Amino acid sequence: MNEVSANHRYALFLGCTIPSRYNNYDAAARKCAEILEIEFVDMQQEGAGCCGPIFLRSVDFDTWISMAAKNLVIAERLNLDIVALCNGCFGTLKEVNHLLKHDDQLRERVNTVLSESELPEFKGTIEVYHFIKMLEKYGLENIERKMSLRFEDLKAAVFYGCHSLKPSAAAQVDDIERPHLLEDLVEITGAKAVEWDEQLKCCGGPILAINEKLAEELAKKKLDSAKAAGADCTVIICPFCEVMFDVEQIKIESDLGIKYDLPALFYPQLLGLTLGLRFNELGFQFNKVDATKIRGFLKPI
Amino acid sequence: MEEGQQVTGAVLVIGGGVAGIQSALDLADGGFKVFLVEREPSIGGRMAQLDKTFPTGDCSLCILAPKMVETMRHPNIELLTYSEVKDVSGSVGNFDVKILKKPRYVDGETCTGCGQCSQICPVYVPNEFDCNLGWRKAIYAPFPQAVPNIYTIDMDYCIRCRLCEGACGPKSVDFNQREEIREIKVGAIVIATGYDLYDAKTISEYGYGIYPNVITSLEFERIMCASGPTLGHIIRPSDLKDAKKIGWIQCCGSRNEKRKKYCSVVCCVYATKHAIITKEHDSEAECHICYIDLRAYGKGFNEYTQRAENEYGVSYHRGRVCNITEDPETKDVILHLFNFDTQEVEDLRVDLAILSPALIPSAGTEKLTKMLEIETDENGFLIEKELTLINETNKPGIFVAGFAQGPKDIPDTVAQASGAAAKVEAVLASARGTLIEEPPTYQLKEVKPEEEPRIGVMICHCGINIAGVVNVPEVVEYTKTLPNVVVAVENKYACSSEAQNVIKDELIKEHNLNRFVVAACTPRTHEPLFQTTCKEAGLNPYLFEFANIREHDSWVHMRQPKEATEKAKDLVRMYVSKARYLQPLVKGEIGLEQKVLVIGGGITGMTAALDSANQGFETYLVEKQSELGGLLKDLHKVAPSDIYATDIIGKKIRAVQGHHNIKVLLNTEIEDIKGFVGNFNVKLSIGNSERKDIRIGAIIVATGAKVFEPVDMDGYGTNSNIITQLELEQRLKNNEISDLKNVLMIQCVGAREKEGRTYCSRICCTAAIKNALTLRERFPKTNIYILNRDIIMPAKGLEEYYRLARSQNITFIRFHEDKPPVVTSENDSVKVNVYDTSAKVELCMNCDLLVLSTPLVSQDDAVNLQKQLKVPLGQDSFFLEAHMKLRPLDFATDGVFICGTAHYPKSVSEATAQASGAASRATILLSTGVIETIGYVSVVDETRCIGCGTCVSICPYSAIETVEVFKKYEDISIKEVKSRINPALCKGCGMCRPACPVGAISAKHFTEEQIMEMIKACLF
Repeated sequence: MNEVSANHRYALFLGCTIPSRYNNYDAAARKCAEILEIEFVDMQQEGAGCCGPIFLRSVDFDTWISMAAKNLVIAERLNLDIVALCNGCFGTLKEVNHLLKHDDQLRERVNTVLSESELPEFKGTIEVYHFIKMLEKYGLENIERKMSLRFEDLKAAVFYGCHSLKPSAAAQVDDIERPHLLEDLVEITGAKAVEWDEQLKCCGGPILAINEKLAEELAKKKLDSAKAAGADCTVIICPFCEVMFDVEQIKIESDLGIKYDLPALFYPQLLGLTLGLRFNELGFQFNKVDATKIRGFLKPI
Repeated sequence: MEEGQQVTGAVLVIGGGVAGIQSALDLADGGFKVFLVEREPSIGGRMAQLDKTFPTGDCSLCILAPKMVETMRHPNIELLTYSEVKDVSGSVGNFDVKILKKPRYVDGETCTGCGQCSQICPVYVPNEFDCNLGWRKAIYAPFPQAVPNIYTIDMDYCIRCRLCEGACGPKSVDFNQREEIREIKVGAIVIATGYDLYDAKTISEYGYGIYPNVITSLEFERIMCASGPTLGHIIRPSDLKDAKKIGWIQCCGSRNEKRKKYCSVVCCVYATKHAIITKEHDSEAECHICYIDLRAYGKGFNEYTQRAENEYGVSYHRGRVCNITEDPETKDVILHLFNFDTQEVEDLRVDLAILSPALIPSAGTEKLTKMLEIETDENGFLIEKELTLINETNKPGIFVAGFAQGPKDIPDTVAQASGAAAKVEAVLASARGTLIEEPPTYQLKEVKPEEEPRIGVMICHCGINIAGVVNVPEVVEYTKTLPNVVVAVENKYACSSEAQNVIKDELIKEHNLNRFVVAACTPRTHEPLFQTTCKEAGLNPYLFEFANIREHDSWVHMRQPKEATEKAKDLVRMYVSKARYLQPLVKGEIGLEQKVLVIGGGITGMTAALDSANQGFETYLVEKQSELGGLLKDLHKVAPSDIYATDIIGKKIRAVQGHHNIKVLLNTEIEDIKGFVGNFNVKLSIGNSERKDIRIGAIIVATGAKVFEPVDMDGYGTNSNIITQLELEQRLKNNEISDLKNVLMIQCVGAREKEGRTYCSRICCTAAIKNALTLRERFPKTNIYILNRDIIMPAKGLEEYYRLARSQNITFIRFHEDKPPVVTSENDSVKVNVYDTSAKVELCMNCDLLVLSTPLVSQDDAVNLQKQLKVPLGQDSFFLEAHMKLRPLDFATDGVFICGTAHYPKSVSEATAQASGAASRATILLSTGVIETIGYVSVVDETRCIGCGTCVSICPYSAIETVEVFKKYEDISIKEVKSRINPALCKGCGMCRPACPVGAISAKHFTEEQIMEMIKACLF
């Protein structure tokens, strides 16, 4: 365990999509952290910007790395490990952190760029965690101890997305073919994680802007699969995936007339309810698909 | 090793699979003492675990068990099972080996293998032999036909209740047993450690280990096997219901950059085998094989896959299964297949999914090779010394055979194992015969014709093969009622060593029998076993009879048990009646010439000659051309190495010409061959003018093959820019190629046809890639395209070679056999139209050079030679071996052996491995100095023979000749012509007997009286 985060104090990286489209993920995560006595220091306040979006890597590798490095050195300055809520941000920051730590030539190149912007050198002193990996580190039993409510009979289809797990050599979060971390995190809340066919496929988010029809098809396949597996809701850990499971569901409803009634919850929203947090505190009013019915599964411990 | 130093005439063979067994038998037959070490409690290896073998469909253990039993019974072989090699020191000729004998806690000398201990043992353990799909006990024999049939206690699971100790009749259980170190001295070592399966659990996208209905190929073999955990019912693990829809996924871990880069060679054909057997179990079953390239490379393999598709209805899908998911309710598994031909993802729902995992060197090979300081490659396979010396390792005196050297099938394994024996024998030639015991002389009791027959009968269950249909106890009771039957018993496996002891002691000796009958499987595989048992009991082996109640009864009347039982009684009655009239017979001995003739002076013939000459046998090497070298003379390099073909043959030619035991005869052809095994008279014609007669003991055929010229195919012959792969090679060799823009190669021209030349020529893909790489090296800018149906790379190192070609910008375009490329040539330009199945587009390509890859075909004079040698030609006029799996180098005709491309197309490594093997087979024959004749020959009664000669033309073994006989009556001498049968060649087939118009021929052991009695017993 990194000494830096021994006291459960992290630099929280939000990226761009969460503040603009789904700040309920942000709110729910912070609220849960409060109860778990985890301290989040807001990196946005410290000058962090866009993570260096994943697709930029294919367009201009050096720019991508430099953008990410900029955020990494801010965390180094704060002397805190980063926790990212968005898969994309996590994917970029984690991988770049890994690359820069191991490739001397690359690091030199990047440090030149950083110094030109009067930013400190990359030293490789911090780690990057996805929110769920940080919770694993915190200890699932420790989370359970803070719960005052539990779910009963709630079936959840958990969805990892792509960048939380892959590329596995960089991410080091879980097995890419048979992951179990998110299932474990869901099961401590009392909900049951169902097995569903489409679980490990890409949400389709990246092609939403390019081929809407195809993206809709992919979203529909996911919803059909989760529904067929008996899920009452889905559990998501990335805002982009949430778009596909939440917003797209409404679109499919209006385009094809199919009602799924399958609310898409961010994990901290699910967790938060068991920690005793209120529905609106967790930003449920911003979930496009109504998630009210979830409350009905909650029971006091 | 210094000159003149004494070498030890003993050999250590490490590994008791089919490779180790074959090497051990060859060496032991050749006069060497063999220590066969096997770490499992029984020999047999992987082949014992298989259900059936391809492409013949033989039951695997059935063809292997006789060899296993022979290994155990061979006086020159010491079996050290449940043992491991702990330490080796010394060097070639004199190794000191320490062998660790693990304690079985059962005394091997007294254990009868009765199994009482196992029955009473309360501890159930997953049975490794059944891939943990079934159970065994803590005290166990791994499978019923285990050799040796001695039980073993697995101390990891034994609870020391000691019930076994109490149940054991001979008091063989001994908890005080400890590890033992056995120290032996040997002159050479053969490593034959075989293979394991790659851990399919690591391929997590396939769900092996998580979904119950995803299993491995070896697990499926055990499921198919009649003596396996499901008794041969093809059911699936989750609900034990019949698996009606089965999918095979090839290349699980093989041909994979991140896992095993190499191709495991045998999986495409064994998956086909699985599918065919499944269809034989249930013709309604659906079989889906998902593959990348269908590597059906060997003799009979391509036809096997054609039959699978056309006759059995097996579906082949070219594509990759991306992942497997499970239907949680039904536990069906869904293969998500990306179909290369349709370029779409298909969901294939099946009851059972079978993975073909990569085959890796067995566990323990690494430790062993480190201990012996043998070099292995990155995959753990032993590295051979040279392309043409694949039995030799970097250490003199240590050889390798079988899978340990690289993936290969059973016939190649058996050939290579014989080859290893030849190499050992060359090194230890001076010590041949020094450490073996004299063969046992059996004291056979005299049985007079007038003695009353005392017949004993054993009726075999053969597991459920017979007992599952025939009511064996009922047949036994019936047999007891037959006249002259003194005792009749049943036995679960009459071929087991335990049963032999029962026959010898409890039956023959105790009841003073003078005739014995076994009713079981086929005498073809098991008669010699029981005959030897009789000899050991003092009974002339010809007083033994064998009734087949399996192939002739239980197997063909599977659904009529009542009738089958009655038929079994009939068969037993018939053979018992024959047995009454059996007479003791004696084998004879004929001297032989200890010389070898090798026909064919290519790389194969030269290797065979060297391996035979190195053992000290005088060898004639006869070549019809004016120089040695054969096909390799025309080649440039030999794939996948960078070695020049001329260097390879140059080296061999120098060795051959300098060898004091080899006589090279060039420009020489065979005019005539007379005689028989051990005593051939060969007439040679040298250079059309000279004649030479030689007497030899054994003949090795190494006459090679020639490249097919595709006249009138794909424009060949119409344009000088359309050439064969061989012609390209010659041009490359002579630097006659100038810079070209587009070179196209078409594979399978005149091969793998639907009708006609249906076979795969095994080496053309390799040759095309080799030449493409040479072109690429010389001309970096030339476009090179290889149009193919499958890329077949069936040996170690070739898959990596293929990958190398792909990385060098050589483009592979796949076409379907139903839509082959169409070639049009006008003046000098050549145009090829081909439908690319991957891109789904019709391509029209202009090329400067079109190279056609054609198969090897048999030599024109094969038919002539076949007649001279009296051996058969098989399909496509390649020579036909005695048995495709276990006797790939022998002919049915004794004394003649086959190797190289005259047998079937193959690479230089495979051909030279076979050549060494053939040399071993030939020299075993010669090493004893005598030929033993069988006892049941046919005999001509010369007083009745009228000399018509009908029998001479009828005999398939050419064993009959007419001779002139002079009868003297006082002062008149009358010349008569009589037929005479050569007992050395006579196989006792009896064809001559009915042919004889006067009934002058009688077949011993099948006399008219005996046959008539059988017929009477059958009808009345």
